[in-house]
Amino acid sequence: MFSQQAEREIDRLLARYPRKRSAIIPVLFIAQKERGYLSDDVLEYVAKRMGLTYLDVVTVVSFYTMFYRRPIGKYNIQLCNNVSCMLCGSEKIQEHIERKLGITFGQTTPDGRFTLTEVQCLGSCGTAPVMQVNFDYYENLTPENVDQILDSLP
Amino acid sequence: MAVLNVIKAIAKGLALTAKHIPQNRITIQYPDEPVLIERRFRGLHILNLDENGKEKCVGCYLCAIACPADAIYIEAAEDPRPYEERIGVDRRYAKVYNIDYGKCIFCGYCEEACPEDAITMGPDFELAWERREDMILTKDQLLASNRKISPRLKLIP
Amino acid sequence: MTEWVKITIDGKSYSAPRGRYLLEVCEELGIYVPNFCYYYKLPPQAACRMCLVRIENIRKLQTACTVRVQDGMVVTTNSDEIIGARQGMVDFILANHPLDCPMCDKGGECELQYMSLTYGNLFGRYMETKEHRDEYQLSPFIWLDPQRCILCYRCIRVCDEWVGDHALGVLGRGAHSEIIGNKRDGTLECENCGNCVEVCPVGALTSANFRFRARPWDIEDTITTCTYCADGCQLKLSVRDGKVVRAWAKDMTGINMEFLCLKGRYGNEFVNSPDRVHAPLIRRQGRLEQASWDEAIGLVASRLKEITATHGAESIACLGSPRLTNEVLYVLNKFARDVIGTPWISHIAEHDWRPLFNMLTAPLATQNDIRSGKKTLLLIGGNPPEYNPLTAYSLRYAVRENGSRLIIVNARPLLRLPEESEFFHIRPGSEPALLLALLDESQLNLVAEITNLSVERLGALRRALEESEDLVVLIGPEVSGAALEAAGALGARWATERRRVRLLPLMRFNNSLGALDMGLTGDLPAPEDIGAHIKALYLVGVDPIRTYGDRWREALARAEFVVVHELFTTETAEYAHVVLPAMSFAEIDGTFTNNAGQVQRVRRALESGGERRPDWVILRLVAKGMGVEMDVRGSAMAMLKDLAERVPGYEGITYEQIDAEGAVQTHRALVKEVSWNDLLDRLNAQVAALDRNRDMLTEPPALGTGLFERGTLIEHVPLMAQAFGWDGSRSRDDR
Repeated sequence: MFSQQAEREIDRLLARYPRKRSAIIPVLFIAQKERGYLSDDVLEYVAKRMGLTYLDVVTVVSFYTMFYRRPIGKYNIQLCNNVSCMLCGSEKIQEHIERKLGITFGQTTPDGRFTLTEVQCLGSCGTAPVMQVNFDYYENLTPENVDQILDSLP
Repeated sequence: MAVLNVIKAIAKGLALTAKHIPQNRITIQYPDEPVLIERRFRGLHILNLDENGKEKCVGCYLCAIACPADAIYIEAAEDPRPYEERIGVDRRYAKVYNIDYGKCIFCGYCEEACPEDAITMGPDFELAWERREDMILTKDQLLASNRKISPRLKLIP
Repeated sequence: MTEWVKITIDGKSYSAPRGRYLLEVCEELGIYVPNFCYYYKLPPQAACRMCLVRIENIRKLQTACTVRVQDGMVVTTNSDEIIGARQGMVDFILANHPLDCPMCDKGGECELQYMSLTYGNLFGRYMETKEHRDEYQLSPFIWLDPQRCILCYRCIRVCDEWVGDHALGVLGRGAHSEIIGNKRDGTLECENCGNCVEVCPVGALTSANFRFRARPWDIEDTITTCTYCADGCQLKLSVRDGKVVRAWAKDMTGINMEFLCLKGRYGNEFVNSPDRVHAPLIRRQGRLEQASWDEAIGLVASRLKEITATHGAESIACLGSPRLTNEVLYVLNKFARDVIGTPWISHIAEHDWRPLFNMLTAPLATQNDIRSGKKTLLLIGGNPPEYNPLTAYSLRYAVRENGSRLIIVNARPLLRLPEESEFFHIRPGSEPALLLALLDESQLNLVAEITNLSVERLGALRRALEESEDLVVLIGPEVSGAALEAAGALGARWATERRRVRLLPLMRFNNSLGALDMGLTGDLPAPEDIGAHIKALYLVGVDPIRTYGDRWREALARAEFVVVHELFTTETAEYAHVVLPAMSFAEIDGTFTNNAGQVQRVRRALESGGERRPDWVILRLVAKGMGVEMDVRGSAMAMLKDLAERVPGYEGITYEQIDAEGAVQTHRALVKEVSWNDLLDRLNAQVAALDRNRDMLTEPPALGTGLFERGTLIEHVPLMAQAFGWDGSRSRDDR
């Protein structure tokens, strides 16, 4: 189902734990990397691969917000709106992004480039407001530098 | 002398009667006149409906267990239809709701036990039936929509 | 050895075994610590946080259900701080819990109601609107109202740990978590045992048969014994208005602790069926017509007398059902032997277990024997999760809780048994060869060839038994004849001074063993004999057509006279000349003997309607009609006393003893001297006759092969018929 390299990686992970099911999160990450999101078929496949049931896998996936059950954009903009960021103006940033991209939280742009996600504290309150685009942090945001950041993405 | 005593006693009696004649009468001419009933009178039960005409009773059986005379019999059932179409206010309703007035002692415990304000004691006091079977009133007879207050009673405001 | 430590709870000092959970210790000491998610013998979850206690030198309040007792621990279970914390917890739990107690089925026996009343606030402190979620049906038997769920995870743990179905999970996180089933759409595909409903502390999981039908305060519970498999679970029948409304097990006294299977929990409503025979029926001009008791009894008695006079008593065969109580079977045996005088007195068994009991060299294993202590459990044949669910739960418990070793020898891989078990996959039908390997080491090569196991694997199996200190052998119905004798002799072969051996036959019916004990043989007349030298059949609760198929249809048609005691007009009843309405297990008193030889009580839960009578009363009336006054006393209690005097192994068993001990194990005489040569000769002969070329079976039997099976009783349970799509017409293939 996945690329050969990914399958090899999964085999390596499964061999690493005394109980196979311990490898579920890293395996799901590989699956997500391969497919972009975790569809039912992917979950079914992962479950079979690991000797688990669909239920075992879907409950884990549903618990973690960084597993996506629906297709998301190329860049996942995760904007923090917890207390520190909110006080430092994350709402303004949110409005700005929403206007710029024409999407709100939980939506993806029609060209499939951006997804806007609301997250709780990213642990960088000292440099609030903060957002995380895929795995990179962008700190001390203002509407201006948000423009710059989004435009500079490849 | 004995005769005199008798006349004396009659006169005494008539005097008492005469004294009461000008005073207010307490008796009423029932059934020609309506009986005055207190608001808190505990008469024949009423099963209430909500503002949309849905039965309030959810068939929880609390009245049945509160009843010291074991006069209430209920069978609950499920009505999965949406609110607009169903009989009661919620999914659960009383399919059968019988009160046996041969047993009921009008203590009002059912009214107190009801968590939904579905059963209240009504003002009807005319509790005479010709047959024992008739003394068991069914849900249809108890529902507020099927009841009209007897012209022979008047609630004290 | 348990090490005892000193602990102080609420200023008093106690000693407690080290390593036990604090909550359990408190409970045993009679100190009440409120809890939701804790459940006896389930792994702790600490989800509800009601059991918070203050432990000295630990900064925050601790959950008593997860803290293990240590020496010198100082615990406070009750203080203003703790009361405040509990109030907060109840508020939290109620934040989304609907207050629809009047319509909730759990209302009245709900742990949350109790908890809110005792520990909660008068008014909730949350202003937010409750999140509404609709209730839906997880399976034909189980409903879920997610809004009522307090996320204690009991259902999930029970399903994973006890039942082994892994059918429930939690989707999402935080306040949005929701219990879901294992199918893609979130519904359930499992054995539907309903143990999740049983343990649910609130009304989130409810049973389809009990929904909206009754409230806990207007039902009467009677503890009785299940009438399906031979495990003999104790269950409570709840009766409202003369109708069974549910069966449940919420009582720790039974051998099954708190667990039932699909049939035990949802299979009892046949008692209410309007299709029950309610008056005697006599065949007139080919049709069964209602008659009076006098008429029916008179006819039966005179016809039986006639047939005895013309063809001899041997021409009458009496057959009893292994579902009847010991008392009825005892009277039936007496009736057949003394009143009629026929040697044909048998029960209808799916399997002939007599060789095992004739060669019994080890005591029978009770469920408690399986569950207590570390042991080696050897399962040969059988499919406990389907046919003996409690045994399967006990096996699972033994492996999980005591680290027992489970060895499965079967022709097919089995589902829903612990993953930790060792599986020996043998050729179908080669169980006798395997037993030969256990008894005779010199024939491993031959056995290896027949069973398709390598000599090394057989050696490993023997070694496992050699290493065991406590061995329980569970024998499935695939083992028969001489192999069954060999299984019985395993005690003599393997028991040593330091190794205890116990056996457990996986019998099929609730009183299979009782029927054997009461003297009912397993020798049925062949269908060809009926009409030939068997002229009349006296059938008590049996339906040979359903059990043995069409050959009996013709046989019954040939019989001169057929009497049936039945609950329903079965196919066999269609051939009967007289049908006598009997009472079901819920309507009589009596005892059942389970597969471990434990005698348990059957109690009358409700009045039987119609003109039905208990089987033993009917038998006595027929005897009287035939001019014989049977020496049978008037109550089930007195009958038990009589049979306890006369049936070996039942000595001294009384209701008092059963009530006090729950289940009383009968004493079984063990064979002291086994003549090994004879036994091995018989076994070798059986092994030699085996088909060595049968293909291996790799597919496990499907879920529900046993549990979802249609039967005479269970087909009259409306919920079952609906769930499995059984229509009114009967089919024989799925007896």
